[in-house]
Amino acid sequence: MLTTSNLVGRKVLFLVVLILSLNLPLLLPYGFRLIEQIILYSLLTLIWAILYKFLGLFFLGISGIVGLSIYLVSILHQFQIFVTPMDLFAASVLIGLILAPLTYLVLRTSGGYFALLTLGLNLVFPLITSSLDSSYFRVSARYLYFDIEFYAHFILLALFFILSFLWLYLHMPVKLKNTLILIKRGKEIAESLGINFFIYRYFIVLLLLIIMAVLGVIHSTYLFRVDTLTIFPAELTLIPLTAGLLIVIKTRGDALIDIIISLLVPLLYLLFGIGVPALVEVLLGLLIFGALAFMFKKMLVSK
Amino acid sequence: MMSVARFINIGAGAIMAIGAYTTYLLTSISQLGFLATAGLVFLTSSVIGLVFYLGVNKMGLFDQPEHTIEDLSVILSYGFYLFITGGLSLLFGARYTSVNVKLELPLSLSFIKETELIILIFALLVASVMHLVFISNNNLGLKSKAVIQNIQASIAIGINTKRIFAIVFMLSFGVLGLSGCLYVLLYPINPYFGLYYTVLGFVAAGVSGVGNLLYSFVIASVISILYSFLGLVIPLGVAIAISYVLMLLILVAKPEGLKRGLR
Repeated sequence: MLTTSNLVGRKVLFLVVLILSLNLPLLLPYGFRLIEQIILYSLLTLIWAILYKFLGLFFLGISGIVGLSIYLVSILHQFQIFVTPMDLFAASVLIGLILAPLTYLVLRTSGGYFALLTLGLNLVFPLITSSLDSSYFRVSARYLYFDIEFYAHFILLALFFILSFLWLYLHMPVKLKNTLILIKRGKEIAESLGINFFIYRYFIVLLLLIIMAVLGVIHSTYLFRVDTLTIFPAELTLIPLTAGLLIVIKTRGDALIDIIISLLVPLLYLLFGIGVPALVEVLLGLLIFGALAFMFKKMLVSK
Repeated sequence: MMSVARFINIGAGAIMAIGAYTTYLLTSISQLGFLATAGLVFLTSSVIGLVFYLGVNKMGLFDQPEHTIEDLSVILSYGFYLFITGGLSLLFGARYTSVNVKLELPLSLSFIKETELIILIFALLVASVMHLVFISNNNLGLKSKAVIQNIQASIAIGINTKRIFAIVFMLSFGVLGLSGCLYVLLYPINPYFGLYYTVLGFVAAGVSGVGNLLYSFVIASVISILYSFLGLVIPLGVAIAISYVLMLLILVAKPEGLKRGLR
């Protein structure tokens, strides 16, 4: 008989198999880079999907936060502060200190205003970093030398396991899921049921954004040349958004399929879309229209 | 759009890009003067606005509650932004393109450049028209004010809100296209240049308070002047970042904006 614990056990087993199979491309030439990028995008997708599906926050500042993390690591590296694997932790704490007040400020808004403010991060951070580089540091690019790629790879896998498990967990009838859904419905509803709306929302969003920043720190260990023109690419926002929207509009099926979608979309992008990124933008635009038309049609039918 | 139709338009930058590239095409294939080009750009952008509105309305967006319109409009307009900027990149490439526009002013003023004077005149003209249409106490202005305050109540007293929305979309798209047309007088263009102005516009609307068109215009002017002066003493990127943080702080202190609008 299939009990809840059996079901959880099967899902965890599936995750373990999935993670082990993620190591297979390591055997291929350039497979290491490919798998690192796929996991990175998959994690960003899961963070985006949790923020949107369970907190109702349409977050558009992914490339801003990841790019800022890479930039901070490059500065620490320039001053010889960031040289050992253990300093990954120090860099992450530093970024957390920047994100804590920023998250507080951004969470004063919600809905469309939140989306626009976070989109602004993608614009403001590159402007700040390029201005600092040209006027204060007077460098056009920095060069990173790390020899910890395998170490970073296993941190990525650990993070992938944690977030995938969180995603599966949130799709079971658990207290955390209900709490998040109540928070999504608004302050009045949440507080009338005894939930501290502000504290819950703030710490969950902050935690997810710090994980996003940590991904940037890990990503920097794979880079060689860091300049402000290349560390804030639009794909960092577009790919998780594409995969996230596909996950959100998919109304039936297992949460495991969502995880597979989060891996497949970046894989497809890296295989086909990297040559013509503008085509990906056009297709994503059409996808958004199609998804919303489908949603509205469903709403009308349910009425 | 934000005040009347509750449509938060992240795609504003894409419409500016449409205006700029329409100018580029018109000046490349014809010998039209600037005024005629600007008129055609305004018309083209307005028609795109109407088509976009009809499409979105057909989908059923404006039959949803107000907060749903606000939330979903962000996703929709972001999709529109991606579609247009991606399409323009495919057609024209993502590189910067200069546009040669023939100006017709026979003036030679020492204190202001010809292009800057034209932009100033257009800005004042657009602000006056918008004021006349949406704020003054004529028939359309009164209806718009009613819709800004409450959509459902406006429907109840017999106002055709869908028609008001259609006018808002046409005018907004037209003005945004026109601003793209003016932009080419100053700088080279690429499909993504408008995003910065979207955020700037949002800063103005957020700080001034939604539903307050006149105050938004004043705040936008103040922010632009502030950028220009700050840009003299500190790097422009840092100046923009400072104003962005200032806006965040204002929203923390007064989430409804500095001055409460009609809503």
